[in-house]
Amino acid sequence: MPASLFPPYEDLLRILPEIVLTIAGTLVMVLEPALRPERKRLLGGIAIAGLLVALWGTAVANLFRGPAFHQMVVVDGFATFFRALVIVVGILAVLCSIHYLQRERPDSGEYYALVLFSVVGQSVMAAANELIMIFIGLEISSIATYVLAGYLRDDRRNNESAIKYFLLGSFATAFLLYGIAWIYGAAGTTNLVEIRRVLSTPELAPPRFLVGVSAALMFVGFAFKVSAAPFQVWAPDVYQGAPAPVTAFMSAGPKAAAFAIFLRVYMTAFEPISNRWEPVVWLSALATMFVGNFAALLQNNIKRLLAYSSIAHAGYVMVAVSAHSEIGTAAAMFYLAAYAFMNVGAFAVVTHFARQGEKYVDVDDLAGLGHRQPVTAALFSIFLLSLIGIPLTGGFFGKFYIFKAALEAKLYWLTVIGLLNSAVAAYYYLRILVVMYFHEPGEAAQTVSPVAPGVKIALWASAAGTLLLGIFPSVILDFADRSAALMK
Amino acid sequence: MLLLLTLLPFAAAAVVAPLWSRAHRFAAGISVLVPLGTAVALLSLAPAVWRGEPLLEPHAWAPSVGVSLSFHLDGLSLLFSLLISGIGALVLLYSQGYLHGSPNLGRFCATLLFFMGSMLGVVLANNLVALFVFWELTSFSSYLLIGFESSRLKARNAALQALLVTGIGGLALLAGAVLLALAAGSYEITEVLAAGGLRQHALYLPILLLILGAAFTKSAQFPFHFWLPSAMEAPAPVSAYLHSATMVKAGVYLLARLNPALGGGAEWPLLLGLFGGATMLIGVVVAFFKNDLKQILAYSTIGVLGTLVLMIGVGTPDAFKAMAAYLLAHALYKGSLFLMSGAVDHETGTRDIGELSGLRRAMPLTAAVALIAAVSMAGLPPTLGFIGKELLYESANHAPAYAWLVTAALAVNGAILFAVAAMAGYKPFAGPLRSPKPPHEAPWTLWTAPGVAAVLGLVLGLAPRAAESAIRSAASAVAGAPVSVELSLFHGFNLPLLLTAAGVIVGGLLYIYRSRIAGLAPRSAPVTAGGVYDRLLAALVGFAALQTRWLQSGYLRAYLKIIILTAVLLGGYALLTRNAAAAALSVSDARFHELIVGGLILAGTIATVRARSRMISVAAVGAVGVGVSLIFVLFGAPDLAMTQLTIEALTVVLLVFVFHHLPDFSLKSRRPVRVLDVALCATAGVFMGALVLAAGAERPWPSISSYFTDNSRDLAGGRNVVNVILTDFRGLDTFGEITVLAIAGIGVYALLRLNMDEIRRREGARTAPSEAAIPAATTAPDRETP
Amino acid sequence: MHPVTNVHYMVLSVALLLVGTIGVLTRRNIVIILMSIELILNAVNINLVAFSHHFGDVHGQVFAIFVIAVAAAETTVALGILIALFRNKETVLADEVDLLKW
Repeated sequence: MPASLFPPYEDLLRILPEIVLTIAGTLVMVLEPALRPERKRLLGGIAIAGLLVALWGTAVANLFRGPAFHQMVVVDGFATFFRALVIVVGILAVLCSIHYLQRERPDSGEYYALVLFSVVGQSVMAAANELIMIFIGLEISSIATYVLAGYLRDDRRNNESAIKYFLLGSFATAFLLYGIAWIYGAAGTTNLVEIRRVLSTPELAPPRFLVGVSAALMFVGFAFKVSAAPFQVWAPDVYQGAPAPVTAFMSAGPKAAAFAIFLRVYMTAFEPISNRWEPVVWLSALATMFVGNFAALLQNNIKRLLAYSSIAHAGYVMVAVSAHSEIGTAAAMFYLAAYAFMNVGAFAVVTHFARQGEKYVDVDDLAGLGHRQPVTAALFSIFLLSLIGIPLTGGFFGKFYIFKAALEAKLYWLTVIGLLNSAVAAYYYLRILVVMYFHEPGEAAQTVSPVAPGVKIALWASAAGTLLLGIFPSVILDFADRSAALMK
Repeated sequence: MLLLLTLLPFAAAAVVAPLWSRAHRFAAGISVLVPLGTAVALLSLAPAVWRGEPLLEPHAWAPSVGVSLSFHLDGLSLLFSLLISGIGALVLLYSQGYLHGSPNLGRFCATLLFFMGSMLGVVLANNLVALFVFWELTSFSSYLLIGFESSRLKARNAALQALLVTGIGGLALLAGAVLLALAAGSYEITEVLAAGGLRQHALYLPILLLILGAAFTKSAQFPFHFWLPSAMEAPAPVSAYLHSATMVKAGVYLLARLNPALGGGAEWPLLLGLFGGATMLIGVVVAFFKNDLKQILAYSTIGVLGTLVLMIGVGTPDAFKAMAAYLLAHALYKGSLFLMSGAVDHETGTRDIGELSGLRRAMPLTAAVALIAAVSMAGLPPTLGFIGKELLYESANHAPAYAWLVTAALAVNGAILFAVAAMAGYKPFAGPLRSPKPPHEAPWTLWTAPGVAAVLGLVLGLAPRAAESAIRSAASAVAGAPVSVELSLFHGFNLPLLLTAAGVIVGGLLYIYRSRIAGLAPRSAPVTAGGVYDRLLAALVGFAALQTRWLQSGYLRAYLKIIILTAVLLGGYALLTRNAAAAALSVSDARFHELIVGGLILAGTIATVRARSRMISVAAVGAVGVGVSLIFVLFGAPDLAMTQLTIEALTVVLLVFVFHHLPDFSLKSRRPVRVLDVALCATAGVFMGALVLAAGAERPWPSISSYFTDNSRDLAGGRNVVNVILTDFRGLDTFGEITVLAIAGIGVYALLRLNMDEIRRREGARTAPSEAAIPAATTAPDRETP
Repeated sequence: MHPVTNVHYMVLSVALLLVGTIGVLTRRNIVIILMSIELILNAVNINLVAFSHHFGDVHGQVFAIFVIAVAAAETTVALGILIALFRNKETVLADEVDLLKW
């Protein structure tokens, strides 16, 4: 044990991204009242700068791998991967938001602070190695996201989205918390590594069913946050109602972070009882893919369609989780990265196209976009093709890796069903492509304005990410592979 | 080199489309010269391959998952890639005339080049995943090309149908490829073929079924054949290139490629023979009853694809030889017939053979080309088609099992095919001139391309030695062992020649009495694969609608119910591990004040959820909080109790503030719903009760650590353990906690931010004071925690 | 030995949880649903403190403090959202919030 309880300087470096982001968030809040409404976009710049510095901080923290603060957080490849991922998602979301905010609610800047704090929470989740830390990270991220979902307070859709998200979310978190309380009661510790040690030491092992019940209750909370069936119910309503850039943000960042803690808890602490939770995850993966893909088939509201599709994609990641192996973990990581790019990209297009008051959010409104704005349409096509899983996009390697992991874990049926599901999914994504390219331009496409600079950067960056992961997957794949072995 | 050859068409595609509007001739030149150059380059590599020295070229791609971009050029891939590049050059040349003046010609050529690159990738790839990647790219470019005339709904639907069918097949290929790699230990095809023992592997049957699923969908085998006739919505060059000469043969290629690894055994010949044979007969019979020139050709293509699959199923070196020869012959004659049908359509405005005759007078060159191709299709000497067909009969006659059945089926096929060839290549051109609009000879681009292909079929028939090495090395690659091939036009008077003669007579009679026989055929089949597809799609959509309405009702409380129900089910499942638990619980030895506190909490709880007045509700929540803090005191946690009390007071104050705004309660849900809810709650209760009883029955479980209590004084210099932990051991948590509270403050600020003008305008002054109070109140917990 | 065992507190906690769940399920007013969730969090706290006492390990108490504070933050945000909703829609009944569905 260290002689002094003052945190060693390495420990501080290990949470450098969180420190940077908190400072940036505070800075935004302090400057916010001082700026005139038309200068508020400066705050967006500060937010992006903060996120970029935090990205650098992540790299610095990665040099000091290891546990910090009495094992509460741990910096390993896994943590670094997810930290970088949620920060990048944050950057893309802020880029989409600048123009959107000026359009919808020009008088506010605390939006950026909320995004920054939400990223802090997700970053904490990525590195948390202990249930209390996980809970706090989750709450930091969630509370900020609840508010963001209802940010346009005069819009009824926003109100409804926020209230549904909040009530269902806090209810599910209550279950998670109850599960944590029981596992604390059963194992006497909240540290994941310790829990694992206790569970796998016969003379210390608490009653199995108690551990099982805790794992089940915690599953409710985690499955809710990743929108896995049957806890996906909130996602379509909330995604549809929230402001488009917020939807882009919360469908990628918080989801990735939630998967991070899900994986960490179930792959370390609950690994000794894996034969008990594997069937549950298996069933959930199955149901998630079905519910998401089939509901998306009929959707005409594009935000809702993408919401269902995001449920389906969570289903694919759940397939990787149920593989319960290091390659499964790596597959989930890679998929979440690919998914983040393609999904944020798709929502960025929606942000751009929806216009004032999110007027144009139907698939049919996109008619003829391919003729009006060929570049935007081409970028959108890249995202859609990646969501389908067409080769040369990140979505393809993601799916391939997941199904490979599943087959190696002998999950033959789940793989077959997953493959069939991705065929069903192709149908609704292609419908968008068809409408965009093959239909005559309608009113919405005729009046579309040029892409705002922020959104443009976000679009190009997402497309670049999607293609990079599809053409040179090794860049991320190898890192994911090396990071999949969690501290045990 | 092979990588370059594969990527070149992609690069050309990327260049051609944007260049088209600026330098039309230059772009057109590129789009014809690239496939031509590829063909020449392949020919320069050919001698070595034919000598038996295949080319292997590995490139790393994603080594950690075993995916590489390695290429392999052996006899089989050489035959295919020569067809792909050679016919590609012809088709691109033809397209310049066929779509002359169309504003989309640039896009069309670019897509064709893209397809060509993908198809080359399929046949050259030596890695299963790379093969799949290119395979999907061909499906995708086929989708774009079928839907090229996108303003027509039929074209769009056909494109989607083709993509869905071949796409699902592609996914089967992916699964099959991964399983195959698992079984063989490598993703490299050459290593898979060398692995051996795959037929005994436990995964053999799943692999086989998945691979067959992929091949059958792609190569339009029964019952997945329906997409191919629909795909005839595409422009003629596409039909010629993708849907007869190359892409639809990808399935055949896959089967041929994997034959050394998966072939033999009992299942392989049976399945291939059965499906191939059925497809062959269905295809050719349906073709016979069609009137649309392209439909006739499409169904006869299905028939030929069936024949090729059947031959792989027969599995003798002779059969592979026949397959290779027939494949080459078919690509040449069918490609040229499709292109020719496009020229006819282009000039006359119809493809209905009932409305056409005597076109030879107006379009002599086109007619000559069509006739040569049709002779090859009918299997008459002196064409390559004849040689191929003779080889088919020969190998069927010596098939290891059911030789008579295979021979009979092939003979029937041959006879009908003769009639079909006459319908397609003779009928429109013979007799008196009849056409909806006066035809002219097609421009040179429209007849040179089919002409070259048709004449090549004739030349190779006359000088079969020229094709010998290509066919020999292809057949050897399929067999996995050297096969000797000697081609000649005349094999002597034997059974095949007899069958050919009989075929000509029967086929001729069929052709002559066609209108009478056609009258006998039912108008439409009661069950068609296409109809099944439509109904499946409709059922899928209906199911989707039902499921979504039911699950995503939009009602908050329905969602809550789903969460609770699942949580209870999950918990119940977890509890099932334990045998019935005997409770070791007795209330009698509780101390009096503890009972009081417990009672207070429960009463408050029940009052909270049952109260009809909101103030009583709030008071009850407060009471529960006070009760809980008393419990904390009982457990010797006074600081916790203080926190709880403060927060409780704050919550009550907040709630009272909010109630100031809100209307009175309207109470509970309707009664029938409530009964259900209560039932759900009761289930939840039973689960919870069981949990506690089970927990109580356990002996006290071991305690882990008291490290913090032992160390707090020495290390952190504090007396209050909780405080020490909050500030020192758990400094990071506390930091996070403060962040939570700060966010809550910001959040409420964002949501309710004072904007006096707006509020006055919208709601009057009534709401203003309490809104000011809430953000102010939230900052309080910040100071509370430490 | 202490006359009231851990199990008694577990029973109390489970009872709170159950009543909270019933409240969430049967009440239509969003504020009451919110209060019911508060009850569940209290149930968690009782469990945490009981276990903490049992182990002689103060971690549980510390965790309880975090839960209390988070609960307060959640309530605040929820009420903020609720007031925004009420200003636009004049309702706090869960069943009337159904703009977004299917």
